[in-house]
Parts: sequence; C-alpha cells; structure tokens
Amino acid sequence: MYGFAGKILRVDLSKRTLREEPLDAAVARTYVGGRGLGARIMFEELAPGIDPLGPDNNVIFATGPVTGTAIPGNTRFIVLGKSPLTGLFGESNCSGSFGRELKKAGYDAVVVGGKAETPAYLWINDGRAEIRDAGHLWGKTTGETDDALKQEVGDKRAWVACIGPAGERLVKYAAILSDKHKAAGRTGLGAVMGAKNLKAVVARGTGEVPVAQPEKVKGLARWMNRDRHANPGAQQLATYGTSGGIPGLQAQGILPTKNFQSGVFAGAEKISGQALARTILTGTIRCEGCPIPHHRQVDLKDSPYGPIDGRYGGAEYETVAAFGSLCLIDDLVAINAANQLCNAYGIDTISAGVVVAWAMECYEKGILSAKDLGGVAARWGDGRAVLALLEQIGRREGGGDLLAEGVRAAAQRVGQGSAEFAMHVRGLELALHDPRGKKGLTLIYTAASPRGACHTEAAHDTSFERPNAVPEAGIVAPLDRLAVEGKGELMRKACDLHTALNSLSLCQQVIEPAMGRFTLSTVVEIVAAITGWEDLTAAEVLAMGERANNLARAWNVREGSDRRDDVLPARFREGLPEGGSAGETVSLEDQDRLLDDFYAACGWTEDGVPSEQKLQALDLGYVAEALRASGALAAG
Amino acid sequence: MPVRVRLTLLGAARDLAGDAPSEIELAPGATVAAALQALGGRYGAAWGRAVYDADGRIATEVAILVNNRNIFLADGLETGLADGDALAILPVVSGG
Repeated sequence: MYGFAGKILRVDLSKRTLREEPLDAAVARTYVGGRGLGARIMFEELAPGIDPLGPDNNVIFATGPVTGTAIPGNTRFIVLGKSPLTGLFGESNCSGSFGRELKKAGYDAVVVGGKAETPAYLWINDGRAEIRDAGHLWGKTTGETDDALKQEVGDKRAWVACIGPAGERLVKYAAILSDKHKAAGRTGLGAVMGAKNLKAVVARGTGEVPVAQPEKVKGLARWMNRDRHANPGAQQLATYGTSGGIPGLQAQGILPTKNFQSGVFAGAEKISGQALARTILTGTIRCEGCPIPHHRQVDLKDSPYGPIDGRYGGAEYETVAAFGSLCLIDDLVAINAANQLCNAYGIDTISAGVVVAWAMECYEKGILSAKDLGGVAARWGDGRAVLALLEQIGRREGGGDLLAEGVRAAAQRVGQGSAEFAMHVRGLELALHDPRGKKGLTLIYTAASPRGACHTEAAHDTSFERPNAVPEAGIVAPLDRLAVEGKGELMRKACDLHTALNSLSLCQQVIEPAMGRFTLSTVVEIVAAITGWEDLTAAEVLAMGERANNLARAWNVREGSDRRDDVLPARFREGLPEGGSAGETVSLEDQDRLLDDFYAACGWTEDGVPSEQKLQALDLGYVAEALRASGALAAG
Repeated sequence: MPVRVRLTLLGAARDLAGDAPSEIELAPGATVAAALQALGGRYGAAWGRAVYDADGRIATEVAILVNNRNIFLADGLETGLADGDALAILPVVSGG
C-alpha cells in the first residue's frame, strides 16, 4: 500500500500490552489519516459519556499519506481524543519530525488507552515498541524530558512528543510538545496523557515511506520549493513569521485587543514580526523538507525576565497576540518569556492567553483580587503579572488552580457576570481572530469546528475576497469579509477542503489552496503520485474532508452537543469601537442566519445534526444508526 | 486636477517602499491599475515580486483595498480612485 506504513500500533497502558493491527486499504482510502482516521477510531471505540481523564479515553497520534514523503509540508501529525477542556471532540495538529519518525518506524497511527500504574513512556524504534519507566522524568519540563529521552534511547535523531508539569497536573489546556517548541496545543490532550501517566512517546524510524511514483513526487517537491521561493507571501512568512501579519490586522481593525474589547492596539507595531526581526530574533527554524523557515527563535542569555532559551523557539502570531495585544503588553521580551514558560510547562499559549486576559478583566472590574490570584495584581499590560500567573497555572498553585480549569469553568466558578467576557466556544478559548471583522469566522469557531473556537478549520474570509479562490471546490465569486450572505456555503466548502488537508497531513502553511498557487488540483496530483490512487479526483478529496467533519460532528452530537453550543461569546454582539471594522458586530440574528445556511449546505438538520441522507451518502451508515440509537436522529 | 490618494503599504510592499510617501498623486480618472503602475515605476522590478505572482496576477497573499474594501469586490484593477481615497496594499492573514 503506497503512502502508508500499513500498520496501527495499539497500546493498553493498564495491561501493559502492545499489539499491531494492519491498516485496511479500503479504510485508508476512505478515512485517509489525521482527523478522518482518528475520528473513526474515536467513534467506534470511545463510548459516549466517558471521563476524558479516565482510562477509557484514548490518545491517538495519527499521520497521513503525505507524512514522511519528500513533499514540502510533510511533517504534520494529528493528536486526538476526548477533550478534558470541552468534554467533546479533541484534536490538535503539530509539525516537527515526530510524525515522520513514527511513520518511518512503521506506524500510521498509535492508539494509547488505559492508564499506567506508574509514570511511563512509549519507545517506538523501527517496528519495535516498548513501554518504559518514566518515574525519573515526572515533574520535569518538556525541555529536560526531551534531552533526557534522546540520551536514554541513545539516538539524537529520535523525536519526542511529551508533556511537562502542566500535563501531569491535569491543566485542562495542557499541550504536547515536540522538540521543545512545536506544540499540539489545543483542546488539552496533554492532560489526557498526564491522566494516563504517559510522559512521552519517542519515535525513531529509518524506513522509507513507499510512494507509487517516486520521480513524480520528487519533481513536485522541487517545483513546489521553487515556486514558494518566488512567492511574495512565502518570503514574508520566512522573513517575519506569522506575526508579520499584525500590521495588516491592525490596519483592518481586527487585532484582538484587551480581551476582544477592541481590534486596534496602540502597541501593535512593537509586537509585530517586523519589530521582532529588527530586535530580538536570533534565528528561524524550518521543518524537514519545507522551503519556508517560518518558526521563530529567540535566544537571550539575559533579559529582565531571566534567560530565554532558544530551544523553546519563539512566539508566533497566536502567541504574540494572546500575550500581547489581548493583555495590552507591547514588550516582545515579555511575550517570548511567556512563550518559553508555556512550552517548558507544556501549556497551550492560546488558551493561556485568553484565560489570563479574562483574569485581568476580572481584576480590573474588582471581581478577582490579588489574593484570589495568588498575590498577583493582574493589571493590563503587566508582563510580570502574566508570567507569574503562568507559573501558577503550570503548577496549579495559588490562583492557578482556578485558571487551569479553562475560562469557561473558571467563569462558572467565579460568577459575577464574568461569563459575559469569558471568550470561548464550547469551552475552547478563542484563537486570536475576531469574527466581527470576518463574519464567516463565526462558523469556523462554532458549527464547522468539532473542537470549538479554533482558527484552523478553514482559510478565513479575507482569503475569499478575490475571484476564483478555489474553483475546483466551486469557490468562485468573491465575498466581502463583512458579509453574512453566502458564508454558509462558502465555509462548508472551505472547511471540507482544510479537513481534507488535515487528514492527508499536508501543512496548511505550505499548501493553502485559497492563499497560494497550489490549487486543489495540485493536491490531487500530489496524493495520486504518493498513493497510486490514479482515479483520485478533486471531488473525492473534498469528500474525504466532508466525511471526517461529519464523523467528528456526529461524535459530538452523540455526546449531547448540538446547535445550542454553536454560539459565540456575548461580547461579539457589541460593536468594535474603533478602526477599520468599527461598529461591526455578530448579532444573534447574524449567527442564526449563518448557522441556518451552514447546516443547509452541510445537509444537517436545523438542530445541527448530520442527516440520515448525508451520512448514508458519505458511507457513514453505522454513524446514522448510532445517532438513531442515541435519539439524536429520528428512528426509521 | 490631479487625484491625491492616501497610501498604506504593508508586508512585502512596505519592505520595498520603506520611505513610501503617505500620498501619491495620479492623473484624473486614475484606477488602481494606474496606481500600481506608478508605484512599479518608482520601485522597479522588485515591486513586481512584492505584489504579483509568477503568472503576473495579484498574488493571492496580497490584498488591495480602496477605502478599506477589497478591489475585487468592486471593479478589480479597474476600480476608480477619487481624490482623498485610501489605497492599502496588505498581506492576507489567516493566522498561525
């Protein structure tokens, strides 16, 4: 089977057993990898209502057919499981070479269930796997763990995916870190590892991923590298990283500021990628086979906040905005110190920034005092306060025990109206993008995302303000970023496309059909050359994404989630006060219109449940049966 | 009467035009295409690499706005420019 290792590794930590199972060729073509494959395993194996932090949950590491090939953007792996933060579908997407090593070691996916009696790690080495003791690593940072494990397995080329103290302490938005600076951050799957006493998975593989047309794959890779170099967007990304977009967001008045109270930040220029490049940037990092070194590196032997270790990378856009404009901090050194702390503890920087901004607003309003926050006066713009709160969160000390539960749970506990400005959807803290200035983002954060408010479910509205953005997907007419009309249909297509990339494990930064010259036809050509699926069409690629999205949605429906959860925080009903999107809101009427249109475009019921007909059309009859059994779909 | 247009350049265009004036002057009846041509004349071949893709189209990572609205929602490169209009050339961002 070309493009696949052909095996899944099953690990039961309770019984300390490991077994291999073959990846069926039909399953591979239907579910592919990433979200598709992971959602299928979750739907079939995770019973409704299980405790996300109990032994019945799985943590799944899934690759895709592109992982480990020569194609730029081949390094992605996807982590899945029931989220302890949302209680719903959990998933996070990570780069680095861990996924490549896993696949070259002989596995398309690893499914870890049960709970180890004592701390353990999993060592996967060229087709052999074993569970090893990790008692000596418990309590260590991700950096210490990464270094120790590479030394312990005796191979510096081994890649580690591990948790830090935050995952061990079950911080609900704990991340899984790979190579110290690449994070599977969203939805708290680091806490799932912590609950299983699983400190790390270490992979090393020397095999080759078999591809159907090796010369064609090499040729495509060469062309993509050349083309990206000639592209102004790629040059900007390489020079300034993702935070090079900050001046543009500021100009359009959609840079999330002061816990989403504004879209304009007076310190925007100071925290931009351009300012970083002029000041404290010490290096850039590229993934294996990628032409774009967009990962930042900041290494400071000394700073007002202590040394910053470049091995923890450097803050990228989401992190810069989360600890910068959202908290009114215009100090890149403080922001990068926060980035280091989160990576060392293993904390999602997006969730952490939103939680800290909420705490700052609570402090300003007198809802939380310094005493409530472990002695921290959480004033807007105070970098030291941010760092102190992050330390508390990572250790669950002081106010950190409250904040470690996530913004939804913290606001429920604190009350006093603080839920009104707790910025989350379904319990997942918002990414750093404002739907008031990009109305389709409302759907990316709600109905289209099985995870909650993550920004990576599709390209955003601004990518579709041009004609023929993705003609093969029927995205032809330009749509205004501020328009509501037409966004349901657009976002269904855009989300199916992105999820197809996720399942194929193609990096969105490299292959972005709505933003670059690599079209959906390019994706078809790449995948066909890798897998040998010579009859592959654009429609089938889109159906891969659509199937995975319906499966993930159905998984949430079976857990009791539906339209009632597809709602933005109340703050977005207030108009942006200034800037290029001044006065813009997302009213409840707008939200209803967007949801109605999106559900109709998806073939879902008005409650947001995938319909019998849609599920049957996607070969998901067993899912329809399960939804009927749960009462979410009408019988018969 | 020449048309005076306020100019905001960000991203690759800004790198190129670090000393960009905040205003450019164009002939009456000018369009976005004329403004781009004028800027291209000022900055030479590098301007092309900052704004266009390898096929000579506006690169998909670049947004051109007139009065904060993407030109492709109006008449594209033929969108007219009036005295006092704001022309912005920005990178398109979806996060990361």
